[in-house]
Amino acid sequence: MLYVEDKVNIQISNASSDPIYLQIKNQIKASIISGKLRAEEQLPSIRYLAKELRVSVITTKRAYDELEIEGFINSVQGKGSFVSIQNKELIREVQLRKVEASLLDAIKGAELAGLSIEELKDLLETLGGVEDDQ
Amino acid sequence: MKALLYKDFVSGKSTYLLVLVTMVALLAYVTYHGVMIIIPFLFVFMPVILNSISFGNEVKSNFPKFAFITPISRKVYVASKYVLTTLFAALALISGIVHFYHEYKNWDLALMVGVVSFAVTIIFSSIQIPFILKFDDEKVGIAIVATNFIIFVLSRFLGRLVGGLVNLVQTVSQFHTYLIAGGICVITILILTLSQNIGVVITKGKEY
Amino acid sequence: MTNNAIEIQNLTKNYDGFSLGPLNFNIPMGCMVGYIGENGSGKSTTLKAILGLIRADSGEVRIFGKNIKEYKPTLMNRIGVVFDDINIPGEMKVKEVGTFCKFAFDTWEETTFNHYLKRFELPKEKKIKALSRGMKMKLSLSIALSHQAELLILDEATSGLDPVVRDEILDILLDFLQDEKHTVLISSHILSDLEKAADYIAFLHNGQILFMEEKDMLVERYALCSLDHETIQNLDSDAIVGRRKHAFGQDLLVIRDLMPAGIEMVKPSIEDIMVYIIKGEENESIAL
Repeated sequence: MLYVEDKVNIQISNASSDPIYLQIKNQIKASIISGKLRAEEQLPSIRYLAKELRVSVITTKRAYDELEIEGFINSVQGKGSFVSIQNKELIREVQLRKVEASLLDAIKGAELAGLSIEELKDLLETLGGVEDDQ
Repeated sequence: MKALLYKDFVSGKSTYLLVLVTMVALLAYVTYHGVMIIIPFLFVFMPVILNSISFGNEVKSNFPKFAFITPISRKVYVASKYVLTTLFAALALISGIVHFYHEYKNWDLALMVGVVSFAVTIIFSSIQIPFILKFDDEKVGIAIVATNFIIFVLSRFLGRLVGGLVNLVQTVSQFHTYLIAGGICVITILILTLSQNIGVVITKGKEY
Repeated sequence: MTNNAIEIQNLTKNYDGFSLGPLNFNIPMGCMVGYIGENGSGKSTTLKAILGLIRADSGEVRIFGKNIKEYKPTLMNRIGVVFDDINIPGEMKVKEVGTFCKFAFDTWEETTFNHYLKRFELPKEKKIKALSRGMKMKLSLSIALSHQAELLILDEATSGLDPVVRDEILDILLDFLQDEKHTVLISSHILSDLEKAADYIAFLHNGQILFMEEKDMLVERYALCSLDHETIQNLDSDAIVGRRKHAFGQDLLVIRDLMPAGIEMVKPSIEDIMVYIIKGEENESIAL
């Protein structure tokens, strides 16, 4: 079994213009969306996270609060924070990211083959049609 | 309280050892020459000297600043300063009675010498301690010298006091001896309490 | 039940040529608060007044909801204090200091103390006078952490120590803060490494609290930039908090939201904010 620490990678950059809480929030979000962190999985406590990253507790709390508002996680008083289960928007976003990734792959491939975006679009429509037929 | 006495003991171990050795040597000398009268007064000056040394150590390390970030209160801190004195006063009382009874076989005289030694031991330190509590840092040295001088001057009267005492004891009845001894004890304890209270007021007004 | 570890109301203390306060601020429970300001701004005076080591001229200090004046001895079991010096007679040995504390604190934990002595590599038989400054500081911290304290107060404790030791101390403080009832108040004139973990910054200047704010808010609100004199002329004057003029332009501490787009800005450190605010004030007084 993997520990939560192995599934969430958080790097804080002081050079970044993003506030630290936002950097933490985005990186946890990325781990959830990429599926590294699964539903119902427990996240590190805000105090532990703050200690490990050497940031203030307020910073990590703000990151978690915003993740909760956006529905990625839910916090249970006295137990900790967990990755949310039933969130259609979240799942949709997860799927969307997967689709995006595959499409990016396709685009790269198309560039290598010298296909234009227009030609790729046509191809996509045709393939979509083929799939519908099946 | 226990903590403070422990600290006094371990931080001044070598000094205490030296004092002990000196006392034993003096006792041997005094016994050899048969000048017993000095014995109770040995105890009188010991606390004055030891207090000076103990305060000197504390001032050097600014110890009260550490003591008062622990649950030790200022009252207990001041009270601890009188423990050694009280101990020596008790020793002065006992040795005074024992030696003088042994020497003169006169119970009244022995009791009076014992009580006076007890009183003088406590009164000397009761004068000294508020002074050294009041003046800190560089001034503490001057304060110690000054109080020691006052005490020295006072002690000049001591010889006469003892002489007068012998006369007094011879003229008054035994009942009066007890009364006078009791009176001296009460006054001594009053002075001790007053000195302690002054010490607490001084310490509470101090900043660390 | 209050959620503040320390509550300070109208605290004042006057000396010849210097007066502190009136101070009004609270230290929330579960936080690390950096108490910063220049030397002589009154940081130590405040902390000593909080601890009852000096008598305030007026005002009230409550720790865990209890007035320090009335409850000081029992409260001291719950407060760990580290000063810049240890204030223990040099003749005492490390282990004797432990025995002293065992007698002094009702809540003393010998095993915890021994654990820290080992962790910090403090030899038990060594005399206090033979310890280096860093070791004395570590011994102070070991004592502070060995009597079940819920509040740690550090007064300039890490100033003048090497970065490796400071880093070690930061780790210890963060460990301490894993319990959400634990609070740290740390004063310093150099916060660079400790500021990272502080939740709030209280900024003291000339005996007055200029602000007590979430550190993240401060760092987000302000920004540093370097501009030429001409560009600065066109800026909203409210945007500039402090400046350092030099022969080839100016370095500015600005309020991020009031700046026009397209100007390159970097995040300031708390030290930057402190220095520019003080300098900004000085510049104003020169202009007056």
